[in-house]
Amino acid sequence: MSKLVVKDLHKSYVINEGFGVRSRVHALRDLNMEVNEGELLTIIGPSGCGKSTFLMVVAGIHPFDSGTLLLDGKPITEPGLDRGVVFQDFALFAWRSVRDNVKFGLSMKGLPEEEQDRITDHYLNLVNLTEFADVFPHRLSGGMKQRVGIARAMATEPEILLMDEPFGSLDAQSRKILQVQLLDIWRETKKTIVFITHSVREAVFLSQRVVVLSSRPGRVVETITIDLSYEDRISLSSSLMDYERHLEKLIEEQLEDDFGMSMNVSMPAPKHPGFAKDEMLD
Amino acid sequence: MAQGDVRLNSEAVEIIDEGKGKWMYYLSTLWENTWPLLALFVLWDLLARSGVIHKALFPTITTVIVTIGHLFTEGILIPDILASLSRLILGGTIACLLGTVFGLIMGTNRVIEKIMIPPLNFFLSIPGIALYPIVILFLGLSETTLIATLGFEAGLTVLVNTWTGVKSVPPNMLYAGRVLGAKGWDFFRRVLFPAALPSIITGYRLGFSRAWRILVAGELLVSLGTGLGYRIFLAQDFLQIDVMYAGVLLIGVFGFLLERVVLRSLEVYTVQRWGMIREL
Repeated sequence: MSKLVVKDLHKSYVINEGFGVRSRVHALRDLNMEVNEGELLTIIGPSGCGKSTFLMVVAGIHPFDSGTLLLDGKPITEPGLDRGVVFQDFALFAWRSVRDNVKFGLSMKGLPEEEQDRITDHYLNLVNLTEFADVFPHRLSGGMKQRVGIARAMATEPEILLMDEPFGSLDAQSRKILQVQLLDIWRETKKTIVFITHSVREAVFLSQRVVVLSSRPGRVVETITIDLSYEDRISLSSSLMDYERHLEKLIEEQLEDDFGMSMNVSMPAPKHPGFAKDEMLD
Repeated sequence: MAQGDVRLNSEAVEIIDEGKGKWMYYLSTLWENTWPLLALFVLWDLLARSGVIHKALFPTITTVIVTIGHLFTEGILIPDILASLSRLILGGTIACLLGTVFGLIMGTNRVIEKIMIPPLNFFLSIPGIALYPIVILFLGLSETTLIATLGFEAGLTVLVNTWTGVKSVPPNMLYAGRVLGAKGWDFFRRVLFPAALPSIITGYRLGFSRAWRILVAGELLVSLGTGLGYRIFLAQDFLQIDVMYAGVLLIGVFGFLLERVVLRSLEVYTVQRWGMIREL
């Protein structure tokens, strides 16, 4: 069954180029995708292809121009607790302890205090952070911060977990450990996860299916099913490499297109760096 | 730092100083904050005693302290201090509250922001002291005149700092609040305000110091018969040079206390504890 349905999604935003010059950037156009219940799906594509924009649209932070966007058959119009988001830069609340970060969504949900504590403890335990519960986030390492981010997003028990390059800013070791931990958590909870990355290796290691996006405006180039067992993944079997090679080639093709296109762009080059209009608090 | 209640990892983190208890900590903090000032006062005294400057124009600090004692026993000092401080605290607090609220609104609503920027810059460039004659026309020679003018000046400062603070919060922090269900008042109180707090506190500090300056000047112009500023200018009329110095010294001391005791503590217990500003 499809958890998330994306049909003919079009998303653009306006950039202020200065001196009254404004341009419209088409980030996503005719994007079609379905995410199945209980699936871990990764989206991969050249940088600037609108991957993150897509995730923020699904999160309800940014509005979209046209198309259909359904979660469990209901249209997405605004942020909601049925979608959890994990950010690349963690976006933890510095003024709240680890425990209170995880608890934040629960208290917004208005659950009784004991219930909030019980769920918080559970998720702190899930990410192995029980002993750091009372620490302020700035004292944690990057990997630990992101584990808080994951616990915080999962605590409200969303229908779908949206992860925006969550391990992108981590060192190689932390990254590896967190990938395994995420895979374990996913196996345990069977959560529907949309995971954005630009690491082919990460995509193949983690997901059931990989969606390759074209360069901007983002469209789906190909969807690949990764038919590997948990053991295959953990042992880094050779079939992993075959998928990687295939994906790598697809992305390279996209990049070649990108370079070809940038030779005859019709849009005037900005005179000075433009400012993207922030769409955060309209 | 006062975070030792959390043992990150008993093997990796060892307490190298158990401290000598709370009171010793307060005492050493007090000493840390006062000795440079005391050193300055000693220099003042030495300079005054050296006779380089005429004694009548530049009295020793001991003379000034004796004068403060006289003013105190004559029953002038306490009403002056209370008058000035109550004006400062009343006007300053109202200014902080209003400045914060409007700063948060201005930082989150593009239309309001666009409308507010030109008048804000217009009023920011007008020194509060220039406004006194006009405010007096409407509010007379009253406490309200002083409080309104200093509140206006401090409020604008807080507003600007809150506004820029909100604008420099990383967008993802705000998104995180929204996807976790914070809306309306909850969003303002539990996400936006704490996220912008480092800059907001800077606004409070600047706001209060500006308010203090504008108040002292205002006490001369409005002449209500009390206040440290009024005392200084009255002393000028009677050539009581030591009283002039006493007034200046007290203004400095109270400004220092407000900053170090109230506002700095606020900073240490919030944004510094949260790692939002660097500790030197």
